[in-house]
Amino acid sequence: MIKKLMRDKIALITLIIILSTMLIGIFAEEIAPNDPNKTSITQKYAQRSQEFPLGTDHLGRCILSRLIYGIRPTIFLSMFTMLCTIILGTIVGVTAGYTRGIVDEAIMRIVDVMLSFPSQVMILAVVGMMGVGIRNVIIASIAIKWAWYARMIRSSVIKYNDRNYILYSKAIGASKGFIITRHMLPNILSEVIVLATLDMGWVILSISTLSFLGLGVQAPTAEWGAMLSEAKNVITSHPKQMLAPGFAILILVSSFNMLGDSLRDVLDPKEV
Amino acid sequence: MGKYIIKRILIVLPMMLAVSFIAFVLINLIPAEPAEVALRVNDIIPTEEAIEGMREELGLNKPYFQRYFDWLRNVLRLDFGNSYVNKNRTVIGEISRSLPATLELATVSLFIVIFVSIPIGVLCAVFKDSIFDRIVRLLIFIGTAMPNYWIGILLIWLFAVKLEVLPTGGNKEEGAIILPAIALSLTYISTYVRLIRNNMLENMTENYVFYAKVRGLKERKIILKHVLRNSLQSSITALGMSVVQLVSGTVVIENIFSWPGVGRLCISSIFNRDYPVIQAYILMMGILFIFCNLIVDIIHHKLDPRLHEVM
Amino acid sequence: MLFKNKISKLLVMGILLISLLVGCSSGGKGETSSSDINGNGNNGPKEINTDELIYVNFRDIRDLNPHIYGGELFAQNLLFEGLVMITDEGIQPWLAKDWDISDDGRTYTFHIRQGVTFSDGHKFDAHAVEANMQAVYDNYDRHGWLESIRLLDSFSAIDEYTFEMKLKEPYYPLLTELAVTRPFRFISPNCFINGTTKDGVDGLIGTGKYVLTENHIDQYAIFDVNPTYWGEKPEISRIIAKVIPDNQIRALALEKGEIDIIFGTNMIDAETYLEFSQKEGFAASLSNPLATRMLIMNSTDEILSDVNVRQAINAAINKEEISEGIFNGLETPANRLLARTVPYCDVDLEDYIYSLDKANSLLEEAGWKMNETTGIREKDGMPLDVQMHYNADSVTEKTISEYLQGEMMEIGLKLTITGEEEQSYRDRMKAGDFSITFNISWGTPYDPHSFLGGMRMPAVYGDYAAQQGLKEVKKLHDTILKAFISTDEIQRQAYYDYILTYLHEEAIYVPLTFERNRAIYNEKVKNVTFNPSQYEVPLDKMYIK
Repeated sequence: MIKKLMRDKIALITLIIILSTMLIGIFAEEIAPNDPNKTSITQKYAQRSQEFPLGTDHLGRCILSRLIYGIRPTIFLSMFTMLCTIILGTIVGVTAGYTRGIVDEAIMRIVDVMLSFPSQVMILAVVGMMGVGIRNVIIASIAIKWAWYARMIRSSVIKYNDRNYILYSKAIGASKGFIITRHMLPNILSEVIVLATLDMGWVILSISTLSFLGLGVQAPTAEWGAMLSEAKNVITSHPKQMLAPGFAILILVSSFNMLGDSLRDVLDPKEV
Repeated sequence: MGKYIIKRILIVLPMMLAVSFIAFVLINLIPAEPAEVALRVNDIIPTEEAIEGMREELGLNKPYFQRYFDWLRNVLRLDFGNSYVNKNRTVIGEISRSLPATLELATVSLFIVIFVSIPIGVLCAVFKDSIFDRIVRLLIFIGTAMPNYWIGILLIWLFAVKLEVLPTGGNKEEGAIILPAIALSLTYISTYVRLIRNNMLENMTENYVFYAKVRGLKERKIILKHVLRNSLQSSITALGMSVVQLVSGTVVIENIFSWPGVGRLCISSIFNRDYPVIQAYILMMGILFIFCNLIVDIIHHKLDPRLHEVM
Repeated sequence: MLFKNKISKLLVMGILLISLLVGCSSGGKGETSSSDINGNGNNGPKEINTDELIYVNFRDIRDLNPHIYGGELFAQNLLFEGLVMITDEGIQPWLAKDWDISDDGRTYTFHIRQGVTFSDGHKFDAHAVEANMQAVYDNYDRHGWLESIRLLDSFSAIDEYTFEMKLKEPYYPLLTELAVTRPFRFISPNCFINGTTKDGVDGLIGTGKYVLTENHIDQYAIFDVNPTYWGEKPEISRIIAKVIPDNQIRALALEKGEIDIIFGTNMIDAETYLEFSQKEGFAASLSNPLATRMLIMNSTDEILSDVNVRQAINAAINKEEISEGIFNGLETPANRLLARTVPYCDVDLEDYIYSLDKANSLLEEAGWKMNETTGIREKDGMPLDVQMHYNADSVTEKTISEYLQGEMMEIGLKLTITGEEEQSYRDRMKAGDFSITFNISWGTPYDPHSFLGGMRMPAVYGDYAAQQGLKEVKKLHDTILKAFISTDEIQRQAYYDYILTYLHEEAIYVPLTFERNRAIYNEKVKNVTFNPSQYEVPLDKMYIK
């Protein structure tokens, strides 16, 4: 599978973009030319220069450094969100798919109800009720996404349950845990990864949208959506401010989307 | 067939009940005392007695489930109570005031989505891997990856400020709907072009296309008559679902373009902690979602005979 | 197969048809609604319409009931008038043509202007004044900030055109409080519900220069000139107040000519002001300093209860840089709680001068030792970490917070900042649940009495809660009341001297800048002036040429 993926040029490029972005984020301290939160108000809206390669923002902070530090909340919070979602979804999905019967029935009804709220509404509702802040945004994102994964994983579990090698394992008396971890999960995982890769873009966008609306990441943390929101405040006088964070989001999200697409092509050759 | 529809409709009732319960429960996630909030938003000093009085007024001192059923009974009569902030305005009045604008925006966007994505999707499939197809696919990727608030701002900057051809916002000026509708539809256009293209390509590999070709039918005729028709069927169901997505997805766009719809009502209610309005909004969207789901499922079921056997 | 195709065809057709219908109907609707407001914001060359001014506000006018606080002040000002008005020359007659004050300062007798009617034809006389006053008094609890309501003993209409108010104590700012936009403005008694206004009103009929003709919630409101107005009618016969919530979109709309004027401190940030003041075809105006923008520190906070820490923070803030860097010089640096020009505030105080050395040595003195590895001072293992809250809806507060956060690190103080939406931010202030937050004096004509009076009341703003840790808090609050009810000018000044000096020395406030009101507008709008109160917009004085 990985070999196949490597042959896909687009997948390779996007993978490189994503991984190098993450590396830059991890080593932000070493790479960033300036302290992202260091203000120097006398140098606000400075043009590009040796010291500030992308210029400065409304407080004279280095935009490039803020972009680099902004990778952390942007990518890593989104990944954390996806990870929690997948874990929760897998536990629920496997439980439902493996036990069947009344437990399955009950879980699936809950899933149905969760799925009957449009995602944006649900996030707004949770943030609206529990208050503004990144923690609540993450909780809200997990709360609405887990049900999709639970449903998908459940149907995969049911699908694989009837495969011969699992029936064989059951016949020779392998434990449930063994069957699930050794046979089921590896199979399901590849599908989950595709979906998760595609959803990463969605999560990044949704966190940045909420930060843009002032409901997400709080100042002075550099986050791309919040940076765009700050840039929006000076769109008439300094329209260039919105370019850097906008393109950063654009490139990262489209990388995740393209990678997800390529992964799906590789895994499911029927799809064109 | 009829059985399926009845069964499907019967499921809707408990679903709606569950949705209403969630909308009600959410109020209890509030870290603060709702009665105190109701007092504070009106600048009344929340003394012990005042809070007690407000609890009485809002019925908060009754047992939990009784409160739910009281609320539900009122909701069935479309009575969501009054807004905390504007005490003389009913919640249902606020929502019915702002809903038409949102529906208008969503419909125009849907219109744009249909009329832009179908031809482009078809062309992309027909001229698969041509330069056109590649450019469109690239644009689609950009379209799905762009935050729609950024698109909104860029559109305003370009069309309203630099070119001065369209108004920046509001909904009474001529042409004011164009920019928000475009901003809202771009994401969905990307999705549907991709969907239609893939459906078309999938259908083209189906056997009947092959047979048709063998029978000597012209390729264009095949595409128009059979492939397109079959592809549209599956796209329509997806489109049905996106009606709700469009209605609920207007929140950001409405705020950027000062569009007086439910999305803006929702955000301002969040900022003002106008809980009854938020509650009603959630419930409304949930129910809208369920019904769209229902309709789409029934249509889908009618269109696809293969499903009959499964059920 | 055939059946299936038919259905799908029908479906496609149906969707198209519906979309078409809706598209057409919405287009039609757009045309009709734009025609009824003359479509001034449309494309093409514009003829200057001298009868109509398009004003903009960030939110709906909401509930304009003049006796409560839920409506937009600019709109209430257009519709409702008071007994007296505040001008730059002091208190002037309005609906009262003159008045007498008894020697003991407790009885005020107003002679009501004759020949005034509400716009519904109801006669305006002393009885209407009494009914309105009663309606305000019925809602006693809502007027916590208002000393005159608390000191009100009785009031009545003596005859048709004479109205008398008696106070429990003499209270010199009474006339000012009667003049400000709310609650002492007059609405036609025909609009009362159950004989009062506490539970709302069913009409918005005043005696003012304009009447509210239409309101499309969250879109625009139309005010037309009151044809039966008793005085000189304003030049502009129609004011359209549009709603545009976003700062930048408002500026863009002004640039495009969709609106004529943006007015108010919260509506225009410094960058936008600077831009429009230089832009061709536009003009900008700036008022005299109005109010003091400041920080307030909670004296009950574990760290901030130490006056040395508070003084250190005062010394560590570079107000000049805030004024220049953030406000482009629009707001001048403030070194005192209330400007010397504010009545009774010309008191000599020793300014806190910007000096990091001073700040550092004060913190050393207070026992906060620098931890060189973290760069944050510590005392008994506790880091010098202070919470600061700001209103996330305010562009300037956010900028200042982020700026201060950087600055405070210089003296080893970690400022953790949290933005909250306006409602919770205000709730937090009132509940006293903060360490440092923003505060603003009420501005002329409310200063100093409303600002200081508010300190005595819990739940007006954060002042009361923040002062609870001060040693002399009781004396402070008593003295404020004494200053209000004193009839002797010298004695009153002495009280104010104590109040201002004590607050200054305790350093619980950090004055930042003196705020100035501002407006940017299309140059066709003339005579853009400022009223003494920053909350009023003198739309009635403007004209278009």
